[in-house]
Amino acid sequence: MSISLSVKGLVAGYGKKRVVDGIDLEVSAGSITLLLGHNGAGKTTFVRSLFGLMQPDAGTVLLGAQEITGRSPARNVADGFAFVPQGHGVFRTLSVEDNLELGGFAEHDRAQLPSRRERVFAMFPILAERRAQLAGTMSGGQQQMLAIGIALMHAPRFLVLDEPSIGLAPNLVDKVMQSVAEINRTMGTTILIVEQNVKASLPIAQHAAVFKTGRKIYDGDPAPLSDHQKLMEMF
Amino acid sequence: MDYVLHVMVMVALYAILASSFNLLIGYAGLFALSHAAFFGVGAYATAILAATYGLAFPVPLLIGIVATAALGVVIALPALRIGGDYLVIVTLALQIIVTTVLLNWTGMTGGTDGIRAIPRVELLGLKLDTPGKFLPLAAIVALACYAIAWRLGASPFGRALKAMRENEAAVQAVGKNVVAMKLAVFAIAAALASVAGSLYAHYFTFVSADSFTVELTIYLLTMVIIGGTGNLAGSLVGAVVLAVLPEALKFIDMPSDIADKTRLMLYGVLLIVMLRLRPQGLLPESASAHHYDAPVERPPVATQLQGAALEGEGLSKRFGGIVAVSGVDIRIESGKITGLIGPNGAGKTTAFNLLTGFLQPNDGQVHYRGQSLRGLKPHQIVRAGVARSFQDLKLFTGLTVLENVLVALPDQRGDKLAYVYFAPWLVRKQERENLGRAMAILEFVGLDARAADLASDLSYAEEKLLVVARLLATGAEALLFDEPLSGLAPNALAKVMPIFKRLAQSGRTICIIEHNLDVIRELCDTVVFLDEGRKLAQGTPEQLMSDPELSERYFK
Repeated sequence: MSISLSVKGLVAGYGKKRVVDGIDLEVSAGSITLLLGHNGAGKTTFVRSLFGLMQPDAGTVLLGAQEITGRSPARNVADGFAFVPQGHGVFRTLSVEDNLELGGFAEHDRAQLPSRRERVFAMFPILAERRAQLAGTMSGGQQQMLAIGIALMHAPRFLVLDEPSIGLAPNLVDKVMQSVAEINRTMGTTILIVEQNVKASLPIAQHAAVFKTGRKIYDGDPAPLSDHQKLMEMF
Repeated sequence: MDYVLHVMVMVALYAILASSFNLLIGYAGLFALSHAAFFGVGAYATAILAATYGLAFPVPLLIGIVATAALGVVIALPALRIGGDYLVIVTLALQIIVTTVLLNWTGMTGGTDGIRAIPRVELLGLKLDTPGKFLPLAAIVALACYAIAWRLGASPFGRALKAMRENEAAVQAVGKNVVAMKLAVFAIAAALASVAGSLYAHYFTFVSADSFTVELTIYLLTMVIIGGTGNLAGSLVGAVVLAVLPEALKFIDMPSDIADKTRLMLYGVLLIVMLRLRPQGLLPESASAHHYDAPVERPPVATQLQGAALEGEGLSKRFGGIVAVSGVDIRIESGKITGLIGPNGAGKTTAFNLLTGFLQPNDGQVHYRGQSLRGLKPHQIVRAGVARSFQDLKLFTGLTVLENVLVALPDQRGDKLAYVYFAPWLVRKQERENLGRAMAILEFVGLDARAADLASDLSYAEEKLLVVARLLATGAEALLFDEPLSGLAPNALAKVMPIFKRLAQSGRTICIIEHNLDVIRELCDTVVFLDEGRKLAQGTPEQLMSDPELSERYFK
């Protein structure tokens, strides 16, 4: 079930501006890897070009043994690579249930969907309570849970989350992080998580990388990063 | 020869129509598909007044202008409330109504026969009865119309229109009256179209309703898009291209039985190729970007103020059956930073909306400087001294960083049409002072080096700084920030937090919504805790964080 991701020499940017400037990253199967860095370090551009939302200018991306460099998001999703974009990636004018239904849109084995939906509801009971509510009318935290739920409808083997804690109250940040850890533990999903909230996300990660202006400046054990002073120096 | 001159007259008419249409679509972002109707009303007004009532040029023209501008205002009224797709529908409906009236009001418009024998223009005893004689008049009037449109577009009013196009809520939040802006731009665009209509009637001496249908609007829309939306010179180019291209294609030799259809196809293909190569139009908006030379004088920004507290009493807001805010008393002191915290969905943003007029409370009152803010519109509340930012920033992404700040400065003469057209030197003088103020504000937040860049090119942290700069520019003294620091990395926080401290020290009244407890501890003097629409507690950050019940609900 678990799958690894291997990135070599990835270069990506907008026009002439290089935002990601030759990055290697290994995400081992079944792990939670944390991606840190200041604003504008290239984290979002990096994960967007992994997923195929933008075309990398150079480099290769392997999902397991298969090269997926520059492949369309639709094919990535079909191969079990899911992406939760920054800032409430939900369909605002659809109900919670319809959002989840769409999350399983590309699944051929339709019989799987009801049990997956129940699993999402078990993980985030508030979504079950509000199954008929329009997603856009829910609070930011509930929308973030739904965005994760949408990704889970495909039972992904590899999941990228781009700053899931942004704009969430502290209690919800912890709740979301615990859910991420739970997805990893119970489903074996490999997870790459971009975060700003170091304190909340470090405890669940087995591996961490730090980006600075498009380059990787740290790659390894997350523990040393919990030293605030050291992290400030890096940033 | 007459043929070439005729094409040039048509170019002049199209130039008026396309540039005025661009004001609506490209500048104000109002997709009003009724431009042919404005054109037609102007043409019929002249036809009726000149042919039936025998009035001489330019009296029918002037009456037509007034009548069509009034029609423009009538159309603008629904546009005040609705946007986007609905405006398209409403204006298409108007277009159909106008065509139907022209066809069926036989007594006045001649019905399907139209109106014939419209007198030609006579100037200085010369009858303008050939394209060659008519062309100078058409060219001069077209230039005058273009000048009127250009003056509007290049003024601070034009800048505010573009800001409205980018984000209507945000333009209200910086103190602009969007109602007045929409009425003005509709009236002017309609009036200019009517001028073209009047010339048309005199030139052809015949009008009929089928010349003013929605197909013409689409044709004009193509000119605007091919030329470049938001760039008036582009509309001139678009008018030339679309008027000349079909004529030029007539010179390609072809067997006569397929000639017409082949030409139409070629015409279509050429348009597609052009848009493929230049999706922003032949002259994109950026090509007309303003170059500002800011004066060296920089007025101080965080000047010491006599502050005042912003007070909300018993604020309640219900949406249907859901109570979003319930009986909240909040007092935001001047010279301090008040934090507004609570779980997601607690009603914090709704409270901001109630304090700043974006929502009207079901119960309760808001007071600032002894004045009740009840019933005031958001832009009036900004002028009364209370401004707010948005969680999703709502920057004017198509404008430069400097323009984002400039557009927010208060009391601009250039926002008033009387000054724009009749006292442009006063507008220029104030604009120069405003440039100094805007640059000073950008220096204050540390964005001066990015002044000339588009707001869409900013990094996340810079966007957050621009939000602060834009809010400061409004001149309001009570500033409510909705999550101004969320998602910022420690290095960016270290840069932004002192800005808030300095603003509070200068006597301003600051309230921030924030989730990061380290930030709250560092920044806030007092914290208000909301949950499920109620105020549960208020105190110093330490008091609240040590409260076991709140911890249960929020902190852990």
